[in-house]
Amino acid sequence: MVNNDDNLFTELEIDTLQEIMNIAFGQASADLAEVINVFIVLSVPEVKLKKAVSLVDFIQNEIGGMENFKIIEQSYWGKTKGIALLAFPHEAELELIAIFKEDTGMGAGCETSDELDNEMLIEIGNILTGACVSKMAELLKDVVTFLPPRVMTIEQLTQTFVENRFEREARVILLKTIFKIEDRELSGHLFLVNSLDSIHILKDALRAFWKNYE
Amino acid sequence: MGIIKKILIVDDSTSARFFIKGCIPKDRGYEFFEASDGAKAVDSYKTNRPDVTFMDLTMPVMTGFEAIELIKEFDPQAVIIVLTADIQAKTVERVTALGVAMVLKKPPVKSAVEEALVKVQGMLG
Repeated sequence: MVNNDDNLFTELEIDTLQEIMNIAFGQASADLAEVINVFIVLSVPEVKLKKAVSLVDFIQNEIGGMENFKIIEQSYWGKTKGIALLAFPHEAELELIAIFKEDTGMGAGCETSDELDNEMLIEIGNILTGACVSKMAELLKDVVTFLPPRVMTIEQLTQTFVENRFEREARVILLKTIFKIEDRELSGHLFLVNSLDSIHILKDALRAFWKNYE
Repeated sequence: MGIIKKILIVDDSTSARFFIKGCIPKDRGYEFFEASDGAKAVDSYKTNRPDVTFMDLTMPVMTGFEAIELIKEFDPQAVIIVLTADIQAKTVERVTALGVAMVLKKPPVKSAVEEALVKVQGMLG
């Protein structure tokens, strides 16, 4: 479960990060379930340390290829900077959009178009990643600012994603959770990729979180 | 009113188990048992017969939902407090239907945990 080969974090720090991600995604799911009538089945999050240059391959392996995936990307920054990537298989994306339209009335009476579908997908991404990242930040006594989310093409992810955000050889911390919508063949992956430029800030925040319970 | 002597804490996260223990008053002489998944929780419940069980829901091997069902099957009087990150309304409805005493949201807060213990103490025979 934990790939911490550089010993940058202790097992306990990794475990605490997983727990914080678990709490944060729980909040995000509850927020989405208030907007659309679904039940989100949560899974145990994972934390991994990776070289930035290996991220795209890793993500591709995790979601089983990229050909039929849409990715909603949102950058954020507080004491550390990061990127949220929400990946849906094409079929899941279409079904989610259909549920969203039905439950929110958004796009009613409009012709279906890629542009409208992308807008809805962005809205869903905004709810999930916004709530998740904000809750994590709150628990770690940070405040984050977001750039607007956008739907990325596979080419953008594979060609420019890493180079524009991180040094190729830089270590990043990757938090991953998989979620499923109950009673539907619908699942997605959320990846939070955080820079380790300010690793001491993150470690201090984790220590402070523990202090609450000592 | 019964007295709580034994508490079972079920969570796959070591940190989460530490956090809940940190919220429980230390001067009451409680005996603690821990389990890291639902299956171990059921075993521990049967062996140790805790007065109160704090149960997470999202766990590997066996979820908290399944563990609650099995524990309640074994002991319908089991006092279970769900402590979860999954705060969807449907989750609360489901575990309530399974007969849990109450649902607390993560992260645990000392005052809420202490209050929960006082309330469930009243449920013990």
